[in-house]
Amino acid sequence: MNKKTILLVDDDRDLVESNRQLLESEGYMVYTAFDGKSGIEKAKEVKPDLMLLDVMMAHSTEGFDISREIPKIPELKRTPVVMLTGIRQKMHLPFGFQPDGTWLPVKAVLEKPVLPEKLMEVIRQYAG
Amino acid sequence: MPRKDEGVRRRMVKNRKVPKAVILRLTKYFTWSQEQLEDGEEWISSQDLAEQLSINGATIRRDLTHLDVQGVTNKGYNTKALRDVLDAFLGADRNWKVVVVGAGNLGRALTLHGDLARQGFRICAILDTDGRKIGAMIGHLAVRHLDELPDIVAKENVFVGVIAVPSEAAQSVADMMVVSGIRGIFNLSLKHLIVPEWVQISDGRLVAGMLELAYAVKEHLPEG
Repeated sequence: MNKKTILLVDDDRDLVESNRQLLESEGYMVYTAFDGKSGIEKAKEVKPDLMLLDVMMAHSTEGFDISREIPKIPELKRTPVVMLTGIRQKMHLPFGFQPDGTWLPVKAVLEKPVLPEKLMEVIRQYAG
Repeated sequence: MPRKDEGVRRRMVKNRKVPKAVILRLTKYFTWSQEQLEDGEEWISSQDLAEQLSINGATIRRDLTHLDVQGVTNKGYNTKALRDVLDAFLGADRNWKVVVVGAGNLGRALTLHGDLARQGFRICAILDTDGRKIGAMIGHLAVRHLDELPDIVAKENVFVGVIAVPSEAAQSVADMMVVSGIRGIFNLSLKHLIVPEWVQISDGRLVAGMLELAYAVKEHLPEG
């Protein structure tokens, strides 16, 4: 049986590495990218079963742009995206935010730091 | 609060959906009734409004039904009462704190524009990402970095933001405003902005307005 593939897009290389180890130990094939632009290129190349996407990368809200870009790319339009972000803590935001049809077309928003079991629960839910 | 003997009765109906075109005309009635009040005019008729604003009288009367305003026979509407009703309906009777993002020429001009403050829109911060602009004074405000937006919004209880940045940066600024808790965005860029349903957008439409004007002028120019 083919392994499910996950693309991690985050500029925090340490976090990417620890999430890679976690996901590989759970039997997933993991690809990585460290900014939004290369994340999209990698996604086109590997067509992942799920994309785990950070927000604050090249600029403070790059992840929002990428999440809106993905559904416009024909080969990626069905790729589920889960947002994993520390923006609330870093920018002292008064409240969290949720997936939104057009503004934030992702399956779920997880706030860093996220417990491994919570992360896996969401990944299994949307990547299978 | 207007009294019945002033010829105006008002009943604010929350959540009543008023078409955008009507809102646009109501803002015109508001500014005109304000001018009339300043000129000492006690009464305004719908005919006066129609002639001065080049809007059909029946349209005006229909628009004012959204406010549940009633005039007095042979006199029209009491100017102050009408202004007050429109003021409350449009939310101009509140003091709104506003943040402006973009300290270029447009943002500067807006920040220094006295009429906004007179209408209750007090600009409490102007922000940018350009290091050369940070700290520069515009009126009595020092330009602050965009990263400070969430703190300013929370501390100053700001609900309204103005985007005065180039199109390519506008969506990113809108996203920052959304996550900071801004509920209404006046968009002076040319970019069509995507925001959640609970954030309201008003487009300045500078270029669209000029294009409409160009088309209208072109249509009325003599041929040849």
